Amino acid sequence: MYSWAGKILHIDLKKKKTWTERFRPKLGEMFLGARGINARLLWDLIREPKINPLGPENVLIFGTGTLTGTTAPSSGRTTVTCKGPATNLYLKTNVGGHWGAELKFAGYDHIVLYNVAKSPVYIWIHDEEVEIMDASDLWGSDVRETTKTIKEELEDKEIKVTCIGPAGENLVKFAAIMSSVYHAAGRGGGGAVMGSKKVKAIAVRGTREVELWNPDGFRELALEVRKNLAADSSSQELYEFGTSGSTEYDNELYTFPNRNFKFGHVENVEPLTGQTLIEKGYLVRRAGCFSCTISCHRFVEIKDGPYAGTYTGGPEYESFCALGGQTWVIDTEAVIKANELCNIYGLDTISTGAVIAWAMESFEKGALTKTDTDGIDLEFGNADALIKTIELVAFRKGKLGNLLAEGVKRAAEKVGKESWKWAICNSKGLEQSSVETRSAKAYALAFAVNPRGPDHLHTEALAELGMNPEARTLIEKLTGDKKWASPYYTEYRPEIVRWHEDCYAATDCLGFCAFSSTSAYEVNPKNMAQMFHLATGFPMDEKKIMLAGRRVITLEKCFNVREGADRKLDDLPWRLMHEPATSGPVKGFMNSEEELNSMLDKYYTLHEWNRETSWPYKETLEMLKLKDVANELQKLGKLPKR
Amino acid sequence: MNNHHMTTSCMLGCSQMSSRVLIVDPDACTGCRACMVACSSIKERVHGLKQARLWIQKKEVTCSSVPVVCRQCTNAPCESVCPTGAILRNPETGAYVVISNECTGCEECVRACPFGVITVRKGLAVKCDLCEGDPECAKTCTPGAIKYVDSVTEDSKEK
Repeated sequence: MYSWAGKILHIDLKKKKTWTERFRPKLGEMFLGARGINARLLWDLIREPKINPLGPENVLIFGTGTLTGTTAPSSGRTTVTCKGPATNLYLKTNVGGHWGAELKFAGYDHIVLYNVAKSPVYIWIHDEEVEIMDASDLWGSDVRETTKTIKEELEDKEIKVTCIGPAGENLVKFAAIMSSVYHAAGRGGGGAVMGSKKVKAIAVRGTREVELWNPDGFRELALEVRKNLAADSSSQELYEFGTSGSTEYDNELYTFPNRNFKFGHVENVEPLTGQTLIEKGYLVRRAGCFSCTISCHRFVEIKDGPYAGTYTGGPEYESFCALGGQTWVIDTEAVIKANELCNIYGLDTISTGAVIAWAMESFEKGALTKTDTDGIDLEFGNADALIKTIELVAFRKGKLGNLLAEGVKRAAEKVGKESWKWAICNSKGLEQSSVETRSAKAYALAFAVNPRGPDHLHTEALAELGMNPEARTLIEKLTGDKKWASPYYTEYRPEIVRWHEDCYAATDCLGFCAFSSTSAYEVNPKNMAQMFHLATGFPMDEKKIMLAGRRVITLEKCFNVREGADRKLDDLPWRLMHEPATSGPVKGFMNSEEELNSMLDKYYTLHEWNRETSWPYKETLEMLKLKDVANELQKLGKLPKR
Repeated sequence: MNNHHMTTSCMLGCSQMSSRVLIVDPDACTGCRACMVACSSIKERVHGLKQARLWIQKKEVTCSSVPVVCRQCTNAPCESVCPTGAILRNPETGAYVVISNECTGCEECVRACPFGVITVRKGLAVKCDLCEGDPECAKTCTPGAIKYVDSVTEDSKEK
């Protein structure tokens, strides 16, 4: 096989047994790679609904992109897939860094972890050799220590490590899996699944090579796309200022969510910007994931003051917003410190910020008192409380740590007192990322239907904002008129979301970064198909690769259908449905049942899914060559017919 | 940064013979390793890190990275230790190249190279030959951390 290593590494942790499976080329042709093949594996390997995501029946799957390991720009991303503990539904989470490419060079595309180890272990993969190592001494170590210790123990600095920190060990529902130290497969609690399996880390060293079907043709095309992507203005801005370079812009539009989504504007927002990281001298380096031409990653350091000695990757936009805006800690250094703690303890910054913001509002409203917070003065803006609470959560210490470690949905259910009204998650149970959906309707729809919960990392419909000519041209292509390139409209949002879903899925499957395809638009379905063809030898075109994307999304949907999900779970956080935005040009904007319902109807129709239940039709699954999936759903009585 | 100093000053001292040289700027390097896969792709027609003729010295915890390329040294240890005289300088590009007919794969050059940029593959020494004057690593390096420039340009003087 070309481009794919063609191998899946299976590891049964209980039996301490490993075996390699050569996968059928058909699997690659149908599901492309990474996210797609992971989704297929998850469907096949978890046969029963309602298993405990933190029990031995769950599997944890890692998958590299089809083009990971090549010169295709920004193509080094890895997808991690499992049944998620935050939602008890489908979870895919995606991560950059260098680990995925190393795995490819070791000769594997995917790893599947089964069962639970008797005592803590780490996996050591060096080319075809796979060893299950004792990790008793590593258990309890943070992400930096773990990475360092493994490299020292195995005496090779070039080893790439993916690991969990204490949060994953302590089964925090939003624990991240960290890769190349600071890169997070953050959302949905993959770290807790890894912790439940008692796997501290997967260390990889690969010295093999990836062969392509047409290396010369691929090289030429990849070089051309690299040049275009590097020259793109949005890429250049991401390089210069990082993702938080757009904070001021969002703030001016009053769409910089803060204080738990009560407000959209911060008077003095400068401390939470990528520009400040540079001006105040915190930024030490700009770093890139494998083969990336963008390099949005930041490395920062605090040299003096109360947080002297703090150093970490980040903060990026979502971390600034979640840990700074939502908690009202408008303080660069405190956010850097909070980000460092999340990174080394292995916590998702988005959920961490969201759950602490919820607790702060609960404290403000009296739903939580100092008895519940272990004496912490949990007021909005209290930097010390933010830092202290992160520690409590990661180690599940005290009443507060244990409450918040369960995530905002379960915490609100426990606390009651109507605190679910300001719990910023939807019915699926994942904390929403910091995007103002009340005034961005494609985002609202995409968040509602995202199988893992409300966030921007399944479908980034940035184009609806119409920020640049490329975005407006795309909107024209999808809707017939550039005028629909405005986020305030509800018209044509389902069409916009549908295109972005398929494109984003193909992006993930090939290992590309979403910035290359749904922000810069330089990587697009056409050249993705061309690169896929030149790399693998399989004929591919724009239409076919988008159809593969649709197949992947539909299969992900089917996983949730099998788990019992229906249309009721495709909703938005209560606050964003019932309380309008409070100020600025978006004042009064809100999501509503009526509006969301009309978008959902159209969205399911475009997908050829049943509108009442949201379940895919038999005919749709057959068209997508998912007949076996249809058969299984039929047995469960969940297969509507037209 | 010491590495920075060493890398670039040595580079300039080494390539007087040719008009164009590879220069590296560690501060610009993002550590993405695209240069390495590009090198393996053009020279070996495969994609790999081990198969590359340059490498990135990295420290993950501080995100620091330094491209390490062949300096084409004036007094090249690889050339002087080669027992069969299989490493010769190409007068056009200034690159030391391996004459495969003469190479025995004895690895003396691998051990002699202070920068670790020579390997033995399929029984023969492989090293950077500047892609005969059009180095793929420089073409692939987006942030401009590896550049192929005239040895007397302002750009290289600054370094």
